[in-house]
Amino acid sequence: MLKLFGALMTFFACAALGVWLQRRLIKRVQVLDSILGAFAMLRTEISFLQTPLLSATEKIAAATKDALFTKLHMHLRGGKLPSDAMQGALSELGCVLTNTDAAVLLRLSLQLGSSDAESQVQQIDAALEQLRLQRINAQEAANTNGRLYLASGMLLGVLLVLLML
Amino acid sequence: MMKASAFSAPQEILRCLPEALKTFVSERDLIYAEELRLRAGKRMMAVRGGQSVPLSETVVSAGQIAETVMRICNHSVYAVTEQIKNGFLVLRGGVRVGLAGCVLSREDAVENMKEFSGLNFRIPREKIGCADKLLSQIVTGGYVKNTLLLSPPGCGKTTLLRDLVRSLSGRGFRVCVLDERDEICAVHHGIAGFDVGENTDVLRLCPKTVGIELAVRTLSPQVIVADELWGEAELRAMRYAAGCGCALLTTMHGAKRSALSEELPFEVYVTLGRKNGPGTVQEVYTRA
Repeated sequence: MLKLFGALMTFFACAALGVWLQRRLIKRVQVLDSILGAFAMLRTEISFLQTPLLSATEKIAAATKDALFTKLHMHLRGGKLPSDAMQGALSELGCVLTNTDAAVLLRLSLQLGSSDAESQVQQIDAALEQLRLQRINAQEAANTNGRLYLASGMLLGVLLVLLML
Repeated sequence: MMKASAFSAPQEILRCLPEALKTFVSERDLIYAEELRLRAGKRMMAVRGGQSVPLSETVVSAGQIAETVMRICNHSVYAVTEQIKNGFLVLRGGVRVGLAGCVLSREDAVENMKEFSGLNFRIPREKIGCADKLLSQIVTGGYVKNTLLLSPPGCGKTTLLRDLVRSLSGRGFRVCVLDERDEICAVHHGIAGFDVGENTDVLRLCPKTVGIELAVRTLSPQVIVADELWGEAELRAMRYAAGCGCALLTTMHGAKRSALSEELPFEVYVTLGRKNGPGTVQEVYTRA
């Protein structure tokens, strides 16, 4: 009986690991979607309304509930430079985004607010283009690797159970 | 009575200074100063009683000036591009920051400014009652005469103008202030930082040429107030307002009334100086 309980625990632990890894990939797609939407709003706030960065991030965080913008606004309100605020927001966001995703956002944050509206829009557009590519890659990874992680987790569980029995 | 606006101008200025410069200037240094000057490669200066007083022996770097500009505009240069084109930035509390640097222009129009090399923080004052003596010469029989306050920079034109606005508004005149640089009323989130009376409407950051027509058509003012009249276009707009039956109250840079054209649409000319401090009325001339 104890052996059976142990086998079941092992199987479910391995399956859960597979599910967790798959969820991470899906979560990255969702986070990138949310960031893309938020930056599209920031583009509008800058180009049409010339809303200062602090007010713009506050409005966008309230409207979209995007986690990155919420944290970005909090850091900006604390008097940080946009680049430092982005660095802080990304580190608080956790490790859902890849280093490449973070690099695109950090590069943009170095320029954020430092030039006229036309130039800001160009820089946001360039970053949005790169983020869209990252989103496509993330979706592909979620479709292929996600299923692989799920299946591998379950197979590993079955294998360990068989070995234990 | 002299008092600051709802937002303390010295505190606002200190908020914008880089940490390295903040150590050399205190709120107390700024309370009685008229200006704070930052110039790249030079010492930081406070202007008091018309005299420049160095605040430290350390020179200000170009990088510190650039950082100050970014702090003034809250890291949102795109939001203040039009102000930069006009050579100034505005802080809460009615502080105007004049900019020196490289001007990019095309066909006599400023397109942008870059490589800032100097900043001039002008600290506003509110002197309640400073216009009381003058008021009787401007208002007669329920009628406000078209009035021009004339002086070189730093002689208290805006302070006197602000108190005239408060007094006229207090007497029930509908006053519209064209506050091009947020200096007269220091409005923040829709609320005036200085006491400008209950019957005063404010058009913020609005060029006079545009604002006068807007005010006449929509706000039905009895008195239109604007600071620092400059150029033929603004004068034309002023004449339009006078033609519409609005009284004019404005200021202009200049030392002598005699140097002005006879065709200006003003009935009272007030010349200010610094003989007994800023705001000293040297001459009041009423045209027959």
